[in-house]
Amino acid sequence: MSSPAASLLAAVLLALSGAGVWAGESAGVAGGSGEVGPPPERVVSMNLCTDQLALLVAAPGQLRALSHLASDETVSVLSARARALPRNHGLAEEILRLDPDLVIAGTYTTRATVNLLKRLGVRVAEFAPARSFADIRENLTRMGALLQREERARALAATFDRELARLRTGTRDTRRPVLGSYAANSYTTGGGTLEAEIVTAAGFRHLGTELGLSGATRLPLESLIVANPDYVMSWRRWTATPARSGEILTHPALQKWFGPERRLWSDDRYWICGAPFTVEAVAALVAAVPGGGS
Amino acid sequence: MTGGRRGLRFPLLVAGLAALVAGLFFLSLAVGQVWIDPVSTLTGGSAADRLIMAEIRLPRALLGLMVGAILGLSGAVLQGLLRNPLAEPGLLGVSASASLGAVLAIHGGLVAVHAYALPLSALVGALLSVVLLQALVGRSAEILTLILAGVALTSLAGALTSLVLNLSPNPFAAMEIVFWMLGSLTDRSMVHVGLAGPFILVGAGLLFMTGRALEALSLGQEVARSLGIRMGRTRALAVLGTALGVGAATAVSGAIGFVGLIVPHLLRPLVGHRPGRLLPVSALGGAAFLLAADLLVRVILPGRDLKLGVVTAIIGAPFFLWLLLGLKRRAA
Repeated sequence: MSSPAASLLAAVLLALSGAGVWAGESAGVAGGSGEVGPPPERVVSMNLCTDQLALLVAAPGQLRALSHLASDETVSVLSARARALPRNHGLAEEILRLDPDLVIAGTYTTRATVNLLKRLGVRVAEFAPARSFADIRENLTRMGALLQREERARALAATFDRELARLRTGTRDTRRPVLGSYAANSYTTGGGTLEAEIVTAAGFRHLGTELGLSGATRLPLESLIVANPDYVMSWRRWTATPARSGEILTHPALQKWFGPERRLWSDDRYWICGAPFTVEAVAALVAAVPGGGS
Repeated sequence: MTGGRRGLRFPLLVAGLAALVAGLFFLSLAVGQVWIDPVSTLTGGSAADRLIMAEIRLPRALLGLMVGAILGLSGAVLQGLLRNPLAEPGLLGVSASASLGAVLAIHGGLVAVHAYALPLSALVGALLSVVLLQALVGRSAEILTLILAGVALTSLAGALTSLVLNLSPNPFAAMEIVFWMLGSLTDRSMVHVGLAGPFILVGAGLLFMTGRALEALSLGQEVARSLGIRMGRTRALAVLGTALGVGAATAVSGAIGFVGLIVPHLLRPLVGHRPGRLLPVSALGGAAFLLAADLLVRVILPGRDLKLGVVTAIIGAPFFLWLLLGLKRRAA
């Protein structure tokens, strides 16, 4: 099974027989992390968030390819480092040609490829997107175990916690202003999300949480004005490239009601994935509103 | 005697429709996430209410009025000119082509250079589609050829719109496909009113100028010619008026179908099948229909941004099928 031709043949045969004989085996591998063996040496990641987590944790030479998004400087924090590695587009063919001994994927993206790879007996580990700081620590620990770099993962988690604690002691505790996010197509984010935790850690109350919203939800402009948060935060990227979706962020009503002093612009890259660098998103928010009451 | 009664009926019909439009316009200002009394915001009310009224709901109501009017009017003109009951900017691919023009202007970066690139580019898209249709169909006003050409143009323009949006580096661009194909008036601003308004007004003016020619044309081409109607001029007015008006309307509201189809049909019996009189009542009827549809959008699923085209299609498509059945029966 080492040559790509053999792998492809196997794929065709399996697809024809329709049997997932190896599915159980690979699922077992994907879920567990207690197995002992040599550390994986040809690791391929197919998801922007696992790309960045793997880049931070892996030993030199351990990674063989990352998703093409990892080297895109508009979404990836570690784009400079990612550019040194080959890119993939999450397609089964290109992944098989890399002959990986471990594939890391997200639970929401490239589903068809992940299922095919599993059926072909490729070891696949899936990571759910981090929805909290606790998830970030958990994902770090799991990545450390998978790559057998527990030491490195522990150090990263410790730094993350230390930075977070430092930022928290510096934040206001008298009057906590309300901050609401407003993205393209009038979307805001509800409670129980990584965004809510970042905003809270920076010493704000989170509008989506206070309004009882969950997940990404449309918040009509009228409702945002009536809810009247102290700050409206948007991400720079939505206005950087032309699109009708971003127009709402420059709507005259929004501009008139929330003056420039009440608009915050964040760097998307630190908000897309939950990772040790998420602490930078907190730090930027704390720095943006320094006189908040601390 | 009947002539006298009919003479009285027409002003009454116009006045009734105007009153309906005024009522719906008022409701459109009042209904939203919260009920706001438009009159009270003139004299007082909270600052937030005043801002919502002036910057969010007023442009929305104005656009509903103008876009609905131009769609109804152009439907009436196209049906009269092509002497085809199924002619309508949405079905003929004019709206879809205007959408493509608008999308190209936004994603090609033209809008960043100058704001008026948006309506102008949509206008060019609409114009090209009408010219192309005329070339495809020629002078034959055969229903099937025209509708099939419209279907082909709509699919092509829709596919190209999707292509442009899929190639965009902006991750939200693909979500815009729905807007451009189904249309919406949600959270538009006075900027959009300013962009589209002048073009829609000029377009409407050109379309109204075809009224006398359409009256004559309803008696047959020969009679029209003997009455001194120049067909070339009439056709040019209709094409330019539709391109200007529908192009600019689509640039700010997306492609909204069926308005131009249903409204003239509903009103035609009420004006004694006179194409000239159909024009003003179709404009008023179109405005009323679109304002009502936009109110429904806000009442049925508030906050979910239901697309306008969904509502107009749910009402319009069954009507269209009923119309086809009627045509078939008449042919048989």
